[in-house]
Amino acid sequence: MNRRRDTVYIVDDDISVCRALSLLLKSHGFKSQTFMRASDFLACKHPKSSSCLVLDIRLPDIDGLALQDAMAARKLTIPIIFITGHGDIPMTVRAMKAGAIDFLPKPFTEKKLLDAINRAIEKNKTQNKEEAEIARIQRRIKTLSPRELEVFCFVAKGMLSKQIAFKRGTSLQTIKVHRGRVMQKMHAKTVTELIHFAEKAGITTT
Amino acid sequence: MTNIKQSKLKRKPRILKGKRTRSGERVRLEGLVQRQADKLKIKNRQLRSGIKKQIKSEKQIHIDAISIRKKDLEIIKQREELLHVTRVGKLAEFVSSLAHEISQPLTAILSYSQAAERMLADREPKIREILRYIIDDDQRATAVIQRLRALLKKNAPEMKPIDVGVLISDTIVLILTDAIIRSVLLKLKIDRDLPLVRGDRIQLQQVLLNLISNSFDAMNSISGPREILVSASRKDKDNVIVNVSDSGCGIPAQSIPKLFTHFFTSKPDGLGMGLSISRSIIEAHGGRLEIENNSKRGATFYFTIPINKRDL
Repeated sequence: MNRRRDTVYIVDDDISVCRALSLLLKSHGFKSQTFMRASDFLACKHPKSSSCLVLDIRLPDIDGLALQDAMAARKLTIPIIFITGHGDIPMTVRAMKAGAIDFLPKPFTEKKLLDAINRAIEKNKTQNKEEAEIARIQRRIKTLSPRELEVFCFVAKGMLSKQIAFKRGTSLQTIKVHRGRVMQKMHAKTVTELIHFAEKAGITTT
Repeated sequence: MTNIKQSKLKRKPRILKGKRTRSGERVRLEGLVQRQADKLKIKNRQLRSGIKKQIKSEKQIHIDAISIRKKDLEIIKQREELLHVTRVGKLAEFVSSLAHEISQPLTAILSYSQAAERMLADREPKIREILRYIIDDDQRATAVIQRLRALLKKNAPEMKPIDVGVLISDTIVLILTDAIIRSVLLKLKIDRDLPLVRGDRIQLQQVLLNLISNSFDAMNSISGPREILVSASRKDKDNVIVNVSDSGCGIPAQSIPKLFTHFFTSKPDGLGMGLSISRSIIEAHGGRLEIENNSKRGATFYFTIPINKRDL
């Protein structure tokens, strides 16, 4: 497995834990970046490669759960593996509910950590693919003219060309032309695919 | 002569009179004695019945004293129980902090060794063997910590609807003697029609006791009046707020951020666990525990606690 491009971020206020984890991950071919504070991690650049975050619950500035919330607010989709020296069950529940990959009580074996990291990176790859697809769809939507966008929205709502023509007060032929152009610009082979694109871009609801 | 005669004459009847008087006197005296004896008898009787009554009432007093002592014992017992819970809680928190501190280097040692083992791949079999031993012993220490954690797993709080007013007065009873000994004036101000909150009675009592006894300690060395005001009111539509305000020495500003952390204490014999435990209890209840110095004197600790929304 080529892991050269996979980054593991480590946030732990114990420098020795950071160093040891980083060495261990390096021995497994992962690139890692360590931070002693949650704010340092938030401030750094997160390139769009597949990555995951190994995060201690107790940190000097904001705690791990708060960082999880902050990341969600910034739409920073990096899967999190929590590590903690406290076997705190309510915290585990909260973290897992908020989408954490795993919750490892310290000390943990390399096997447990690597299992979790592999799952996290897989998840992140899927997330990145998904995000890339949404970005692609949105880029395509931007190429639509206002009229085409309108037709796209009507089609997304499940309206037939006839209904759209009636609603717009234009001829069926005009709508069909617009619709054809929408399909072309959106790279959609079928109407179902077009509706699927609309869903992904969050257009059905608007 | 006549004088003598006269005197004789005069004397005679006197003697006669005296004779008569003597016997009369006896009678009179006897009567008097009798009457006195009777009076004494009555007095005696009264005294006896008085004594009886006295004994009776003494018995009553004794009985009362016993029942008071019983009540005292109950209070003492409750206090002991609460103290025990607090002590166990402190110990648990202490051990869990210790486990956390130890788990950090153990994590590092384990990861270092496993990294080294991996980097050696199939070279240096002797060193790899040593690394194996290090890993095994690290895991032995880990097992000890895990056992400790399992042992101290906190019992889930028993959440029930609670009347804050009753909670406060129940708690006050437990520290009343202490307040008297320390000549502290305890005041209560509990709003009427407070809604029930949801919580674990013992744990909340533990928090209140902790706050009040902190206030006691804060007033140990002050010369002014020693007062504690415990008040409860509705904070907003979801929460009740409880304040414990004292006229003590207040909290130095630089100590406030550290106040709720483990092992922080200003008392010579303190463990520095009370407030951190109290805060974790309140947070587990969905409330907040905060502190503010009063504008005049002393400090106010206050916590919020969510209103019981179930069973409505």
